[in-house]
Amino acid sequence: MIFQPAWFAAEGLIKKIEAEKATVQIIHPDVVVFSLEWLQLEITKERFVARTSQEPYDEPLRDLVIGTFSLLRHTPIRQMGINRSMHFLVDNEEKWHAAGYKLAPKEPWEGILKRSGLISLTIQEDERKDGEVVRSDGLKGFTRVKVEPSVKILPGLFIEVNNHFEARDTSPSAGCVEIMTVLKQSWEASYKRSEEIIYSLLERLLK
Amino acid sequence: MINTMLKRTNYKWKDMQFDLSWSEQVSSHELIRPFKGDLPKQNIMSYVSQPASEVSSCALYENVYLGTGALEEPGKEPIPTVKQTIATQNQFISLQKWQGIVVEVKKDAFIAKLIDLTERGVEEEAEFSIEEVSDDDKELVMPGSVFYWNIGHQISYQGQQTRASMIRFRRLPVWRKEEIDAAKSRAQKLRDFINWK
Repeated sequence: MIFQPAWFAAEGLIKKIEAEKATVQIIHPDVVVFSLEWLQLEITKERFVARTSQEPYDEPLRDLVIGTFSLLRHTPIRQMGINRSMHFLVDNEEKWHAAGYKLAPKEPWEGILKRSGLISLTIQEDERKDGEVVRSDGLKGFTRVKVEPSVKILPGLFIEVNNHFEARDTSPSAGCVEIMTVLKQSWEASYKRSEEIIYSLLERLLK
Repeated sequence: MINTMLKRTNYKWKDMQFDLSWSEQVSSHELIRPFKGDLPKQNIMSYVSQPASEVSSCALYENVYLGTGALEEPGKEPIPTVKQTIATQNQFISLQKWQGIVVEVKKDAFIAKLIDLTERGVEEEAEFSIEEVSDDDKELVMPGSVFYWNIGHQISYQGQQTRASMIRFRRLPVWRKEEIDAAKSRAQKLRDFINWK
């Protein structure tokens, strides 16, 4: 597979020293998994996932994706998710449980389950227009918000916003160009909106 | 509304992820070299992260439900004894983030125009010492180059917090000759179309 640390460095998308120090889990024609200090990459024959947990690298991560698929512009990309997630510490368990009750009230479950608790809740925002699912910005796709108890922090909340985009042009070569144009044009708005969604929801849940 | 400083610092962990997918027909595409045997699907999946919900529900089942103590008295909430996932990676919490564009390069410094990415405001100009730039990025310091400047807190996984400033230059593929030629050709067509002399 072309996706290897050395290829990214040769194309100038990452630093040479980063490629040399990359932690490679596997490089195989079917799957590539490696990480740098700021980046985790997982690539299979149908999927490319790039992730960072370091906030200063949000923009470099976007540039890496744009750079990669500017070079591989014939990849028939159909869809893209720009996902932003955060884990928050909640002051105490009482507030933590209360947040769960607000999202999923206990009443419907009373008498059915003995002890129930929220594991995961996903809400989708979209609109049907001319037979397709459209986002609030008019692009094809949807926005999903997921709330779960955090597995990293106790007691904590995990909130994720998935900005999902789909290519309208289904011809093999056009999808990549369309999706990269969407990424360039919608990145800032979706980044800021994700943050607004997360913090507005958090404020309501912990009020 | 939550105050801005609180907004940017009260999370404990933050992830940014791009997830792109394409149809399976790409296997015959140029970016995959022909290979005699496919790796079994389960082997591939063992290397790939599971979707977040699966990860969290499995972990939650193990961590919360199997580790939840019995009710001490009727009506009292169960006390979850969640096993935390121990972070082994340093975190950088940005308090302020700018995008800079180099306008002038001096002997040991460069001047850049700064755009505040945290809260959109007026453009500023600042001078940076070349020493602030990592060795691998120094060759990218030239008029017109874009970089990202973050100031914030570096938190080691042991919890040690230090103030930090980080500059990283944008890395995009170099324009190839055929791309430059194609752009020139499009510009020429446009010029001819508007009859610009």
